[in-house]
Amino acid sequence: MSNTPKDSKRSTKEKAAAARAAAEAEQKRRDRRIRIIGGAAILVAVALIVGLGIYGSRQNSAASGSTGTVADAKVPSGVNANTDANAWGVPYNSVSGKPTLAIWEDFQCPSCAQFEKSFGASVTKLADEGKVNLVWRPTTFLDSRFAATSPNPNSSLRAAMAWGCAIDAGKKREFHSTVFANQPATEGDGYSDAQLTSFAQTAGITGSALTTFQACVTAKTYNQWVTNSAQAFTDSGVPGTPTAYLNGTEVPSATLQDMAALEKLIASTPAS
Amino acid sequence: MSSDTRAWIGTALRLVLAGILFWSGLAKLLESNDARREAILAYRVFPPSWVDFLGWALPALEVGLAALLLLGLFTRVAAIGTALLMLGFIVGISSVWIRGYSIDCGCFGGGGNVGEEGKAWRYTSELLRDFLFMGMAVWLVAWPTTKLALDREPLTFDDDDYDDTTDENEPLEEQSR
Repeated sequence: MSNTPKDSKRSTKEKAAAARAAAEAEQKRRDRRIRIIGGAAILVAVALIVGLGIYGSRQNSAASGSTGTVADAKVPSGVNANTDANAWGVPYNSVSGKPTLAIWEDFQCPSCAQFEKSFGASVTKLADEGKVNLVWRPTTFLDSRFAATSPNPNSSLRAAMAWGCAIDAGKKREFHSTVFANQPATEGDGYSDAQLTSFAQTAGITGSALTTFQACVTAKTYNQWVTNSAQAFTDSGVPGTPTAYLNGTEVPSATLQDMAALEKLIASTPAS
Repeated sequence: MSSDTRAWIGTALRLVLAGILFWSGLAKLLESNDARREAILAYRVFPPSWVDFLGWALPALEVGLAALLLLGLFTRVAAIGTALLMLGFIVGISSVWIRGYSIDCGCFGGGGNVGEEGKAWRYTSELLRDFLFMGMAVWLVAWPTTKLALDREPLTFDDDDYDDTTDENEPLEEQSR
């Protein structure tokens, strides 16, 4: 076949198209390389954040010197032992054949103070009437949040330790409600030692009992008990405070904030 | 709608989603371990042993998706990831609501249990917001070709992964038709 003008035109066109296709292929390769490098860089960055983050938080918790649980720690009188379902909890009452309502609280937690103010009396009344076993479970997770800013560091721990001493003095309920009633307006301001002593007095601890209370507080007698309880809080993954469990099943907050609903739930729950 | 307009809309969605994800991821990364822990546990979905990992992995994923979207890199993959993430948040928030808990979603840091006041509107607005974000991501799944994107600059043709409807004005396309 001879080269007609038409053919030669086509072939020029084809050549140009081929050259363009080659350039495009090259461009595409370059394009792909950019995508792969970019994608890989982002993937590595994400992996680094996760890896270093987890490594860092492990180091942190190791450095914070958490002493963990000491099974034979000294506990305030009447407090649950390690083997109880609500280990280290403070039983308010004990009735047989009724379910157990365990409430996790931090003395610095505003919602706990709010709960105590609104429903504390109703809940203890249910227990007084023998409808439920009530157990308070102290924790201290807010201490770390305010460690750097609080004028009274470790107030959750110190208040709970003082509560232990008040329990020994027979003022379990009184001290508990007094602390919450006097919670500072600003979360994290905490409680001074002098305040904790005055709470004991308000709770009705006087005379030689007050001297014993103060010696108990000064000696940090219940440091390990509170630490154990806080460790149980962390280990079981309790989602904040106040959180209540009825025979080990969490009570939805909508129910916990509605006395009629809570009472109904308790009445329909068998003994633990 | 012209494909050019669609590509510019896609760019806008990409940048907005990137901003949102970067903000939410960074806010969580800058928090204390305890705060992240509380926010995750509040959902009552994951066991405590997962919390440490999730506390880092979720915000890192958000920041990673934000980077992909910002650069317009693997836009469709990033958009699918974002849409699934939003769907996860929607399921998570709905589930705590249905189970009767009152929490702060912790979407942009914070989180944990909060009081019952204003619960219905809080959850409704969070869900509407996440549906909106999911819709934006779904758009990008459908039309991942956008302007100012590494996926597109320089232009690529005949790539199965990418919508090529914006190439109508290219001389080569005219010729080959």
